[in-house]
Amino acid sequence: MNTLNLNSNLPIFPLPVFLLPGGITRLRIFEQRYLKMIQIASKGSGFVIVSTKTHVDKESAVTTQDNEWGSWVDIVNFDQGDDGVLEVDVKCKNLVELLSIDKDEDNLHFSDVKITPHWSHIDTETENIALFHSLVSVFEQSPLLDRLYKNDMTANTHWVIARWLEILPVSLEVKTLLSKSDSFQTAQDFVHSIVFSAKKS
Amino acid sequence: MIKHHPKFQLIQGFVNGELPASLSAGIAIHADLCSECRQQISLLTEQLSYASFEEVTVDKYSVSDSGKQDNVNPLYFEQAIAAITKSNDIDIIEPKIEKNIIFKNHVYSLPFVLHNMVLGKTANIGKLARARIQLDENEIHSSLLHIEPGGSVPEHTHNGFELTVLIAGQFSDKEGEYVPGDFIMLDKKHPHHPVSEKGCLCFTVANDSLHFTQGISKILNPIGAFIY
Amino acid sequence: MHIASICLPNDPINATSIRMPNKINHTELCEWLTAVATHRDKQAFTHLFQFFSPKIQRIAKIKVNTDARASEVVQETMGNVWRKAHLFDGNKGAVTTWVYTIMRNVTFDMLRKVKSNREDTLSDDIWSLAESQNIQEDDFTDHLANNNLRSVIDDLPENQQQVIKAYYFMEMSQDQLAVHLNLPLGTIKSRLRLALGKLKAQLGESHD
Repeated sequence: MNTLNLNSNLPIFPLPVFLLPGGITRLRIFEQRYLKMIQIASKGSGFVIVSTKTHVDKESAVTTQDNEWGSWVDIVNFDQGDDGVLEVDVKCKNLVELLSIDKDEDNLHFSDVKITPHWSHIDTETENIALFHSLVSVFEQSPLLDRLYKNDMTANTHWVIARWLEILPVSLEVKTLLSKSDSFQTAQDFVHSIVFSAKKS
Repeated sequence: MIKHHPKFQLIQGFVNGELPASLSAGIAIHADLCSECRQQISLLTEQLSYASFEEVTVDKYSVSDSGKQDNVNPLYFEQAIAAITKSNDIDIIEPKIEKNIIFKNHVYSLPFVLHNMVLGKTANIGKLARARIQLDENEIHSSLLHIEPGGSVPEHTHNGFELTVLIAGQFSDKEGEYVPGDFIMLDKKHPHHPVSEKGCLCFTVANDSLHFTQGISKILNPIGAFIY
Repeated sequence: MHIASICLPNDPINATSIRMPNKINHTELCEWLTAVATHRDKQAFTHLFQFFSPKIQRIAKIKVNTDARASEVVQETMGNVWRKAHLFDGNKGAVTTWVYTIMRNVTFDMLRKVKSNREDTLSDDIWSLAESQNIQEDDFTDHLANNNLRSVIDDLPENQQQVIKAYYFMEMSQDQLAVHLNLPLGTIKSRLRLALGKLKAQLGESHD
């Protein structure tokens, strides 16, 4: 077995949210087993957000689906919300394929994972200034996004396209298509044709 | 207002007791002046104590009991408890006394965390003065660095990391001006050139000597080993 | 994929190391510690010792490697508990948090002795006990909020506890996108439709 890029026994957080490497989101955690997950994850190895449909909603067996994937995230900050609920900011570091899933007595799931390459993980030399400016103005209207990304802002093409994909109002299934490692050109065209008018036919 | 704070991972390492004494001291100096980070530290301490004592999380390496309370030899308990309780002495916490440090003619109040650390002799070059803090952490060096008004450190980068916590006074670089409490962690991607108009005292930690980037400063390279 | 319990019943390590969480009786711990502080109550101290020492032994073992050193951490930590009990203030935090900080400090000083061969005890200066009480004073309200929160969650019906709320700040609505791009909603909808059609065509070509 190839042990490269393998990581064992990471906790799983089922949530329909699309997050590519570099993406940051804030989670509110209050269920006991997920508080436990945060305790485990904060020891350094993070956890995996799994957004695919076959998420953990049944007590027992769940159907099989090929290539289940997730966003492996690190905790970058946490705080208590005004209502006392734990708020955790997480940043995606890799997309991963889930290999084998197991659960403990609290019904918290764990999986061994394998890192799958994705274009958004790689810095490019190129910048996409037009989409960057547009993205900045979206962030400016959202105080939270603005705060989460304040130290990360870059016009790097991959980064800008990845952030646009995350915030566009299209279904998770569509976004998942663009989570493939070779999808960069397609993703860029896609974002362009929505944000700017589809001039080129 | 303090604008530069330790990253979450550092605070976590601090609360866990996993950082070297030098970096821990840097965070303590910062937290003394920063209520935001103090709050985060106490929240995280509470969470970690909860994780440690309250809930037994997945621990692959401890093949312990099978669901019962941890079982330890009762005889061991008795002896251990007797050894502790045979004396009824209690620890008295002595009130903190201000401790000052003088560089040239400037008197500074020494941060509490440094009170019991051993300081080496002060060395001077121009407007810079440095006293090593003897923590014996191998390649990691900690110092107090004093810059007299109008002094500066030549532009440099670093092969490892370089932490500067401003204790008193002010200095600035191209990122802006810093105030006491600012926690500035740099790596080799960030060349910088701190200048202090009014003078300042800093706590510095670095794990390698500096690397000067400006042409003329190369001649001054020995200063790198001097400062950090 | 199979999310069910492929739970390795034959694996003794996994089977035994995941244990039920122990519900802690914080009030009781607090009473014991107060009895130690005010009456030097050895029976109460014995209870504290029985509660904490196996846990400290296990946690310390991971950090200091040997059983002998871990036992030293236990002895030193519990010795501190005995000698410093009068410094604990139950209004300012849980006993578990207080003992955790003592254990962390003892471990830190021991590791420094092992690694740097230094006999100094810097931990009390770095995480000053007296100071941490002050710090907790600032955060008194937060601490309460945290405890309240746990009890509130525990009281929720099971199905409500299962609900996970997430912030969906990430994704814009079609309306928001329209406002942002300064275009009518209809235009946004048709752009999305076009883009999706094109995407499917593209992916159809390359993934057949």
